Amino acid sequence: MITLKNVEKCYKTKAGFTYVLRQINLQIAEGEFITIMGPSAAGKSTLLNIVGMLDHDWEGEYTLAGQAVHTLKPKQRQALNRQYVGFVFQAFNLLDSLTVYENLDVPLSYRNVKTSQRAAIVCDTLDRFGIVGKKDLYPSQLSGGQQQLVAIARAVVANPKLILADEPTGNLHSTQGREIMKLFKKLNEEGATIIQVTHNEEYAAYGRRIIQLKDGWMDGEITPDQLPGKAR
Amino acid sequence: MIALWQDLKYGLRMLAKNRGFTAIALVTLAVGIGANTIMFTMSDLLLRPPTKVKNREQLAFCAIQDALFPWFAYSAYLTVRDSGLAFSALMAQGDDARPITLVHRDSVRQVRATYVSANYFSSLGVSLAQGRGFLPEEERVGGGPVMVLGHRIWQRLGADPNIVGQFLSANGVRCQVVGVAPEGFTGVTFIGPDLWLPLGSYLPVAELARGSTRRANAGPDRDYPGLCVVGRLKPGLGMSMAQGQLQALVPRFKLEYARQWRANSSLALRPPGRFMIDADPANERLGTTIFSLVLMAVSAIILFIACLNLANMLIVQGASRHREIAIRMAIGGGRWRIIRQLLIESGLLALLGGILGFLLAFWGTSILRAWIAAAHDPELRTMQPGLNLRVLWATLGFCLIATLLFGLRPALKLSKRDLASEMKDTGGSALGPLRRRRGGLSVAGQIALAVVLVLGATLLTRSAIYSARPDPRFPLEDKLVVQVDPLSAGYDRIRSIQACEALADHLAALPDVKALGTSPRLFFGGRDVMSIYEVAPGTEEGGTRKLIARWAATPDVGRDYFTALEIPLLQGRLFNRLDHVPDAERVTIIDETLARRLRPDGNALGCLIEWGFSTEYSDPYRVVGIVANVPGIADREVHAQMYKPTRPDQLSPYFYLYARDMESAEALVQRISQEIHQVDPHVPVLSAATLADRRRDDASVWMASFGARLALAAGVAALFLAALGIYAIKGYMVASRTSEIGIRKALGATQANIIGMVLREGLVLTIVGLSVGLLLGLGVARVSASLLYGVSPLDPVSVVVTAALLTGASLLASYIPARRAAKVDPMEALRHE
Ligand SMILES: Nc1ncnc2c1ncn2[C@@H]1O[C@H](COP(=O)(O)OP(=O)(O)OP(=O)(O)O)[C@@H](O)[C@H]1O
Ligand SMILES: [Mg+2]
Repeated sequence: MITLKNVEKCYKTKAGFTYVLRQINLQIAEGEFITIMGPSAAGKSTLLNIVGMLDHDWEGEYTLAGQAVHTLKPKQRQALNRQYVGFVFQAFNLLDSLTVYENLDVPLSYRNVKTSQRAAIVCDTLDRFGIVGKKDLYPSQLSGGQQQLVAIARAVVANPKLILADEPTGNLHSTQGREIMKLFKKLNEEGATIIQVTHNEEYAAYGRRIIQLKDGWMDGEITPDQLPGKAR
Repeated sequence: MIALWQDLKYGLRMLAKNRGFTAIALVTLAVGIGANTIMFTMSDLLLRPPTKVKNREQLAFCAIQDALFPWFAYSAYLTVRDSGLAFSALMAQGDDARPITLVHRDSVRQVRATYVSANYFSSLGVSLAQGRGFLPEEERVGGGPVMVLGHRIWQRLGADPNIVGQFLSANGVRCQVVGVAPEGFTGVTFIGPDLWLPLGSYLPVAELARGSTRRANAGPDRDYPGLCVVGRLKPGLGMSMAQGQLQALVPRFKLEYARQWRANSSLALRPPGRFMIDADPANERLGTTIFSLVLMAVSAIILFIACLNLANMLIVQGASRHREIAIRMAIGGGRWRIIRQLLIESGLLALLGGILGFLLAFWGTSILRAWIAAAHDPELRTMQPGLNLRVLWATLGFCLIATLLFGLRPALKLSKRDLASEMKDTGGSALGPLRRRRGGLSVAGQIALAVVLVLGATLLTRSAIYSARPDPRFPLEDKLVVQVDPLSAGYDRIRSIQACEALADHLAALPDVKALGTSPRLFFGGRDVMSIYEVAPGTEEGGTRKLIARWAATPDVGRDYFTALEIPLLQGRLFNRLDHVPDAERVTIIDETLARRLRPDGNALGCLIEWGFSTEYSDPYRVVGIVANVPGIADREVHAQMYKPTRPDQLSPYFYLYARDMESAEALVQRISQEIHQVDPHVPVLSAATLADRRRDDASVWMASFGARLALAAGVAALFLAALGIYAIKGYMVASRTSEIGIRKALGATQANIIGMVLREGLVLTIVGLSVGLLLGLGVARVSASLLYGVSPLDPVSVVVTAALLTGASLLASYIPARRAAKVDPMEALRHE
């Protein structure tokens, strides 16, 4: 589903060019659950943004579901993003002024889904995530775990084939984190391709493949069994 | 002291740092303060008492009430003056509505003169800029004709420092200049004459030079104009006490002036009027107060919009400074220090804005002055607005108000905030929905207020355009009106009439002239104070008289008046030569309006009518012709007209030339002086212009366009401020919601989605503001419908234009921030989290 070939990203700073991603080569098949790990500033978020097509300023080749993203114009990339991608952020990034229901409605409104269908889809999703009772609350009235639940619901409401999660559990208590990971697993089993970034080895183990980044370079790929914590 | 200096320096640095904020705030302040200063200047012009008169509050105007006419005879003035009652000084002045032709070297101009008693300048406590005032012997008939020039006319004549002692010709009479009045001196009233002549000069300059003959049996008072008498009350004497003292004279007046004084006539004292010396200041004040109230209301609205802008912007700026202030307080900054810091910043802003505003006002008033100076009407031209100390104080006051209004409140509020919660607040969407709604409400309020002003401006503009646009049925471009003044060439009446006849013959024979008419006074429609009555045929004096029309004009017209002005004859005949001969039957031509009132069945020919004013009536006239209605030059309403043929001894110095076409009319205007000079080199041409130009110069047409321009300026200012306010609010909204917009883009929003969102935000409130403003504006327009000419107060065009302007302005003002929002990079926005 995803092929990255020699993807590179650099920032121009006062000191000159700083590369934050070097020669990233990666193949991800449909239905995979991938974890990206690495120290801070390794370039994990940057990679995720490129895959999610929020970032247009990079070099190399990137194919998503047969489409050569590097040849597309920003507008087309955005369209592709809408068609395939759902984002979950570390800081939840719910829209504070909107209720839970409205937050779920936003991605659909940007995808020209008919109003009548939207209501059905939103209710369906609320139901699936067990947050029907919270639908009229504002994000500030929810706990951190509930907020992330809503954020994930919002990421999947438009039924994306690819879910990108940047440290989705970073701000959560461990039990809440585990719940979220179970949810991801379930979504993955239902057919979604998932790429998550995490520092937590326990959660990393939910991925089938674990890709390690360091200083912008791919530092190898391991399976969950090879995680240092497991080895011990 | 050092701390204050530091605060000041820091304040300047903050202003320099937030350049966008500072620029918008300064422009807002400058426009708000500038507009207010200009409006204040205008109303100051109306309310300010005349300058240069010493202790004007001591002056009292002697009013003769309920008499046949309210003026003092010269001998009556002397009686009061010499009685020693009530006044420490008593002066008299006689105004003459007829302008004087003043010739100085090559320049000929028409000026207004006031005839005054010898003690005029001294009793007003004015010392002349040059020369002297009048001498007692000059007050009497027979004293040499002399004049004191007003400062303005002296400047117009070239500001000759040696003017005193020179001779000028006034209506052809050689008058020596004995003095020049100080700058700004306008006499008792606010609008002054161009020059002053002693009462003794009235007979030679105003009467004999104009061809009047001195009636031997009329008594000495006939040689003087009707007088307005103004005295300076004796120290410590109140108005009512003085009035009581004067009652001793009333029986004598009733005896001596039996024709004027009736049984119930009385003598009363009151302060002299500001514009007309004999007007009751109470009534006058009402008029000027309404006018200034309108001005004040307009400037208050602009100031209010400006303050709303500033308040919003300060909230905006305050929101971004919560953390700074919280940290300052946490590290030991006292509350007072912080309030002072914030006040110094807003004070700096207000001061800079005030300076800019004052410059703007300075520039604005010089434009106003140029407009007014271009007016044709000499009385209007004397109204010169100027920025004076009072206006400067007012501007500073506005600055202070602005500082307090928009600086103090946020300062108090910000400095009171809970420290802990401030420190914890890490940004994000710090702006609660509540504050956002308040911003929206104030946008709605601004729009509503701006709509009122813009609607008023468009209505006034439409009405000014309408009143300036000539009536298509009466083309004015191809008609000239030329005024000559043979009397000031030194001719007597007979010779003047002959000269005018000769000139008329010559001009009528020019190839470019289709027809030439004459009249003693300039007349082209309009209303007058006459009432028209029908008299039953055969009844004697005092018989049955039926009122037909009020506010009618009864112009005398000379040869071919109707042909030259293209006024069509509908029934009967025009005047012919026989109507103008001595002892001809009294005949009249009336207009359609009067004819219809006279005989609704349409058969008014042959009716007998008279004109009357007060208790006097004319001889009966027989209607021989009916002509079409003529719209007035100024207002376009049709008033009843009763045209009479000139008598043979009447001088008709106005020529109406019906030119072949517009081009030849323009050419004639250029050539006319030459042509007249050829026939008679001594006769000065006072004016030559097309009727279209005359119309444009007309005082009320000019006032309409002046008012419209003023309103337009106010409307533009309001529109601009409202747009700026919307821009600031939307800009802030976008800035404070960068991360939200980033999230939305990450969730798949396109640029169009984001632009739409920003534009839609507050759209409802904008529409509400627009509707409320339109309702309010239409209400105001209805109430002040009398200011509008030819435009309904509910004029749909104006409503549409206003709505379109406001919608356009607010769309533009929100489109710029919306574009900025659409450019937000989601990665950047999210990184700030
Ligand atoms: N706009 C930018 N300009 C310059 N450098 C940037 C910019 N954005 C990111 N970087 C740099 O890119 C590098 C990678 O950043 P990135 O956010 O991808 O790291 P990360 O692996 O997600 O780290 P963390 O685990 O802390 O989230 C960092 O060194 C960062 O300083
Ligand atoms: Mg990261």
